Amino acid sequence: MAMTVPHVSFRHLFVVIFITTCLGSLVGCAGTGDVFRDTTMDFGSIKTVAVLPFANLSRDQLAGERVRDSFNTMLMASGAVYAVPVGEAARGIVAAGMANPTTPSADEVTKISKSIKVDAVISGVIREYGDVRSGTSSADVISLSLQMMEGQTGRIVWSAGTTQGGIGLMDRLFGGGGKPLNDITEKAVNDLINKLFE
Amino acid sequence: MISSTSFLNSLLTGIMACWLLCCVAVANAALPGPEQRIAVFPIENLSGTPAPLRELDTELAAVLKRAGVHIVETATIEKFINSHQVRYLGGIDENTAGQLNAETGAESVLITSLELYNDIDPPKFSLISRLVSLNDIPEIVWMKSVGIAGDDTPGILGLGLINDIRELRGKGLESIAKSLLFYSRNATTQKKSPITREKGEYSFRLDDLIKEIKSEKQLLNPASVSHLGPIFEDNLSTPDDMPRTMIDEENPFMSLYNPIGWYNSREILANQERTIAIIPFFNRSTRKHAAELQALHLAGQLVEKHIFRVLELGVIRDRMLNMHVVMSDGVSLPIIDLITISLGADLLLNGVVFDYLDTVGYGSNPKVDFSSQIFNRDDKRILWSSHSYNQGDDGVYFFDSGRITTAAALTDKMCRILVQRLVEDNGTIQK
Repeated sequence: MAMTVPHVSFRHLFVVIFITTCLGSLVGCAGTGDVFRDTTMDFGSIKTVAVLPFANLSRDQLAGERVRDSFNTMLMASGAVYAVPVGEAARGIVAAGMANPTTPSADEVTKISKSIKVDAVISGVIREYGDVRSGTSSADVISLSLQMMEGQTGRIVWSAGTTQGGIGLMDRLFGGGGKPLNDITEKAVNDLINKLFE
Repeated sequence: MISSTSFLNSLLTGIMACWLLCCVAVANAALPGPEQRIAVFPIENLSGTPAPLRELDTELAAVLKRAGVHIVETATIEKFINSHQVRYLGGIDENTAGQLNAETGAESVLITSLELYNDIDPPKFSLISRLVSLNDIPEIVWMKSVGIAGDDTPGILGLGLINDIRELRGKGLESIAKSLLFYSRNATTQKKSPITREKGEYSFRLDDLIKEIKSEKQLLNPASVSHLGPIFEDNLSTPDDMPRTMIDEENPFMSLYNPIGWYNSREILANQERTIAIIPFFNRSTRKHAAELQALHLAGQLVEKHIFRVLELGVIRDRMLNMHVVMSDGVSLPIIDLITISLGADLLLNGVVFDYLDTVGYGSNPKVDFSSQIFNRDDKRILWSSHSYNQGDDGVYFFDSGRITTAAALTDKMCRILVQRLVEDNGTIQK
């Protein structure tokens, strides 16, 4: 008995392709899971933090200082933790003898925590800060990641990243130049703080 | 018998005499007394560009005299500056203040800084003046800044445009003189503001408790704490640490100039008259003297609100130079101790200026970006922290209505809102 090949109509094929495309799009839109949180850590015990200078990989030389300043204010505005003054953090860096304060080692974190009496230390990297171009469109973008290290042990207890701004579909279609850099910086910093507190 | 004509004449004479007496009395009240002499220092140029300072000095002195301000002769001041080799005219230290008072008889000194002088059409002119008392430790008692441009009010068919810098600067100087005269007239009433309280005078009463409870309902907003998850609940357990949001009762245009984010520890208005020292800001902008200008504008608003006794900037500068205080990365705790104790200040204000931009030409769009922090002497903690950013065209949609044309005017608005927040807020707030 000869087997018959099931007839697949063009209509069925179209439906299968459509569903596959939708599923693929949904997978693409899924969160990247860019937050790490140490489940054994008691974050409630962290009351004072020191925000170290951010490593700046962007073209803007002041990006690190701008974002750090904004982050410091927003972090304190949350009311949950107290960020020591920037000058005090700088004093701690000198006291701990940190050669590169943007990438502290566990030992250096414990040293600085003891010297300026903080419960945790936050460091970060700014990957992008400024305008990006794509074809004729341009818009401001910020991309940064932060990590929190426990003062007593120096181990990383929280890490997260965010990217805000950039060229969207509407910018590509209609131009416009995106949102101002300060607005997207504020958005990025708030996003990170929400990730810290969630 | 008295005739009606002679009676009318005597009545008219009487009325005239009364009127003249009233005029004299008003004039006497308007002018500061002969003992209130003001020394006027030559204008300091913080504009970063050449400006006719001599002309401006002469014009300022003339305008002040015309307004009725009793100033020390310019020649006397020049002689004093030369004899004491005063090189820094942007402020005054304790020693110089004492000598100036003793030698010229002046009770206060007017220190003026030129912020912007641009004669390219449309002209722009910004100036900031402060009156410093020549007491033991000089403090700022009055401050006024002017930031105007020729195209501020163009009007119909451009009839309101000002193309001549002389006319513009005359307008600015008149404004300064009027404000100073107004201060002189009302100096005694302005000294005692309802915000400022004498040390040790305050006691907590039942009325205060009722007010606190009433305000609590307005301040607490669950939405403001919703983003804080259970992880940090321990830190928020006490009411003092509770993040709060205040209902914005200001008009919407003013709220455009709110800081992007701010923190208030609620300990600033601790029912005592406090002395604040403004230490030099850090300048991260491309504009020369931006830090000095920002500090001056903030000082101006603090003086206007009468919430603190603001120490003269020259005194702080002199003390820091003498103590060899070098701050490359910000204020550390030992520096807070060093400065506050040596100056007898309760609070320390510091900040960073990221942008302070004035542009030239029509449709200019200034940009100001700065952060500020207030430190407490007693526990060396941050009491206030904020970050502000605005542009001249913020909230401008139709026909350039509401556009701000100079950085001076813009930063004045930002600082006014900032200080207002400082006074009004009683909680930890985030926009």
